[in-house]
Amino acid sequence: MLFNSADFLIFFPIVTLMYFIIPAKAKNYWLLIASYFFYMCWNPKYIILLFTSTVITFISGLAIEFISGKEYDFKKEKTYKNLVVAASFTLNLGLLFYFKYINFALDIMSHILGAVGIHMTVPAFDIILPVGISFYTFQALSYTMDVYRGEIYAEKNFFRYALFVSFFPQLVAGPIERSKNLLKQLAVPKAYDYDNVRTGLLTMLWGYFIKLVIADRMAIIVDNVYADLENYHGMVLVVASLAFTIQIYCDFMGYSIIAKGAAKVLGMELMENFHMPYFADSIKDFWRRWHISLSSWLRDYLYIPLGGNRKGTARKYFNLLLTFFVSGLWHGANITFVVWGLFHGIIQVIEDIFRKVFGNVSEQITNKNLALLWKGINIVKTFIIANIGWVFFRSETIGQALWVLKNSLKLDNVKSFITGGGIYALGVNKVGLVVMITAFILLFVCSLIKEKKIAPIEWISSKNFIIRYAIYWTIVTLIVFSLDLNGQEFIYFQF
Amino acid sequence: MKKTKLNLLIKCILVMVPMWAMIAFIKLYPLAFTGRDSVIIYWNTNFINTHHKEDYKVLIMGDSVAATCFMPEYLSEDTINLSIAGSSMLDGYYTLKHYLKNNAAPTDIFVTYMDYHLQQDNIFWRASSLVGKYTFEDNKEIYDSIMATDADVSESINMDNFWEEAIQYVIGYPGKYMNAIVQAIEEGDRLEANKKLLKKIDLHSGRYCKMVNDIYDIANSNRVGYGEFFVTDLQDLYYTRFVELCAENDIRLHIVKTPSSYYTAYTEKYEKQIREYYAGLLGGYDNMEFVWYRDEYFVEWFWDNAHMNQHGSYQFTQRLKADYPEIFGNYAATPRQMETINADINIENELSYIFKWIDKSNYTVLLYNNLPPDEKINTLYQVYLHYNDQFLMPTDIPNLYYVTGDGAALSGINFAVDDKNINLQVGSDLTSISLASKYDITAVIIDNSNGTIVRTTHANYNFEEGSFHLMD
Repeated sequence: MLFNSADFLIFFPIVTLMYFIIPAKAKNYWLLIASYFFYMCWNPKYIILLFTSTVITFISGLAIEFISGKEYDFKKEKTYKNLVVAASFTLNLGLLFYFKYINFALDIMSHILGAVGIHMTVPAFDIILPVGISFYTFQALSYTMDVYRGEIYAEKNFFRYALFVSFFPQLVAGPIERSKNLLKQLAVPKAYDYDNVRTGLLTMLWGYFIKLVIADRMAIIVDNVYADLENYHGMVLVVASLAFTIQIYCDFMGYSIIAKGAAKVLGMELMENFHMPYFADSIKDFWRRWHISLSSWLRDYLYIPLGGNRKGTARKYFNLLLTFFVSGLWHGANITFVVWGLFHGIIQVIEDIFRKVFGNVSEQITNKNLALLWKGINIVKTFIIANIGWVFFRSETIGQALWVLKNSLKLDNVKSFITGGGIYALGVNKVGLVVMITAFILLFVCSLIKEKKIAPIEWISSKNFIIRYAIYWTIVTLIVFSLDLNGQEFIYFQF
Repeated sequence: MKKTKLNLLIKCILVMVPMWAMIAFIKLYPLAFTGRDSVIIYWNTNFINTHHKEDYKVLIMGDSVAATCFMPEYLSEDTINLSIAGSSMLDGYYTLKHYLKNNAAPTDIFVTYMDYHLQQDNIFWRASSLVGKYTFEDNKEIYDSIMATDADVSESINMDNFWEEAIQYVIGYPGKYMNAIVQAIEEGDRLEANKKLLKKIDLHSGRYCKMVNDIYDIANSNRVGYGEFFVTDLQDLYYTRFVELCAENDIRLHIVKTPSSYYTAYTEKYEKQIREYYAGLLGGYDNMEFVWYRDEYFVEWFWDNAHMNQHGSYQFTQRLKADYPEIFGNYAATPRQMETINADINIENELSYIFKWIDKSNYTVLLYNNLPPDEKINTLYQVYLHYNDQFLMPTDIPNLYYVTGDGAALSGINFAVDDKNINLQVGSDLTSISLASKYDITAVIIDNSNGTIVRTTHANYNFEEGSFHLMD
């Protein structure tokens, strides 16, 4: 069930209404039923995977706590706990590997064997990738780790825990929640709260705006160009790359905002998944702002356990590259994602070396205007690097990505593209262009407000009726003018 | 608590005002954005859901073949053509059902669906839903029927999304219409164009099809052969319902299979199957018939293998009039019908056919002959050959002749002659005939009932072919 489908527009009000009507004791059960139904709308069979992952991690939590309660010596206790964690990780990652990576792994293996002269026919498994498997697996594993580290107590109520893993607003595309945040909130059933519902609904409206008005419109340009790549070069490819940079951001952020809003209506607070990533002044900064729930997960459960930056420079860079390798692989079973991840890792290493050699340049600039200019240059630089990275992310093969990058430089058609109305040839009509430009202005203003640490919804709420409703109606009007574009799935569903 | 919930609800409604406004716009002003192809379906839906003061005695129903072949302007004033190109019997059933709900039953229905439309389950659902033709009740019946017959309607709709889509169409959800609305904004004059089209459909009593005199290009087409006739379960179910609806309302039903071109062939097996099917369908009803016009028409009367051009439609309509005199009879075209005939005249490209369109209706034709004197008689005779019993009559002006459809004397036309032109005035309409014309003949067709000059046209005589060709 997509957030931008009519099904969800029926499902969500019913679930919410019932949630507030039924007794407090039944609320979590109701949400659990709704969440499982939500998942089963996509493919009922695969609910078994979600349930299996839930059972494994739930038991692992209990087992770790059980071991802690026994009076084993430290070493033995640690060994037993490690065994439980290892079992939980092996089983969960095993499922993830089988359903997501088995064909990719076999393909790689066949290539490697082929390279050393061993040719064999590798059978392909006919497997449908379970939607959201990477998200809920990582969320469930974080629980095992949190119990292991003693950061939380093991959850004793299986149904509550099952709801934590399957909570429908963030089940299929995140944010990857931490047990410390969501599980605690689920322990206290929420009553109807006017402010929560109001803020949640407005947040959802904003999320729909970003997805339907911007992301889906950008998708038209991107899909048109990528469907017929060999006929384009120069400016068209640059525009398509920029469009995808915006599309992927608005598509994923749109989903995360709708998820956050839906949870807020139900009285839950989900973590922030994006914080104006294209205002980042370095790739390191970019990853503090982009898909925060995943990058923080990788930091906490992979990079730091690997030693982080505590074991020397070489090891730090190795850890960094490995983390970004995993990040790339997490996104999909394709070498393009791996290269995309490694590209970001390498850039971070280069940035770190640059910092080590030249020191922190921005701190050395004392002139305020120069500092601002330097920051601006860095923001543009980071945006361009991210943009290059997205070419790998969008392309089907490395060869295609390199072709796009190479042909993007043949900029002999800039004038003809601009004066000849090239954008219209990419599937955007005049009304669409007006809608797009208005939407960009709104998004930019909203991002600036957020960058100044002001919550946009609170800011709007503080204005008088006319300004407030002028903004609401502009947003709703732009959504209405984009409703014919719907049907575009969220990109991150495939991960 | 209650107050805050109510407040919230009111605010939700208020925030969504642009959405409600758009839904209202979609429901109230469909013509402002409806695409050209949907205007006929809009007209049809509007027509069947409206009570008409005048009773229509004859309904023509069916698909594009019915839309093409039956010309209400030559049948009778109380004939209406409710056929829609591309539609199926499922759609036809609801057309009749809604019409009967709002209007008195007609005495006769002529229905024609191409065999092809009965052999596949393209149900035309989306196109009709777009103009709000189906109610929830209709949709439920359609859904149940599709499920019961296990019909493959995948070309028309994904059944998993049937209700989602049906609800969106019934409430006028903007997502289904924004594409058309945006296109309409970009075009700028869609409302005016649609209103014009609507008038045209009104003028032709619902007949909306490709009205041309193009000729079927057999040189680049394969001969069409029919070997196996069958009807899908879904179409059969709706045909049966249609027949029952006619029976309940005591309507004489004529299922007509229209003539094909001689470039079409049917096997004996096919003919047997088709006759058996309709015999089974209509068995037990005395006032219903299946009529197959087995005549083979000239390919010159078709613009493709199935659809007649204007000349073919004229032939078939005349044939129908002759076969059903008790229904269509002999009648004089009303001024309204003559406006439709005027449209036919205006797209005609053969001089002789202009006289066919006019027939015995209240027209005057002025002919200015510019041929050498020795060719005059022959030329005018050639023209006259294609006409009825009226003779060309001379006017006061040399070389200018007239003839009237009903044989009446020349009246209501003012002449003024100067050095170069003959200037004619009919009501407020003016036209000139050049005395030094390069054309052999100049013809002026005047609609006496409506007091208008329908067309001024020129023709040259082709001595080799022995006929006239219109020049414009």
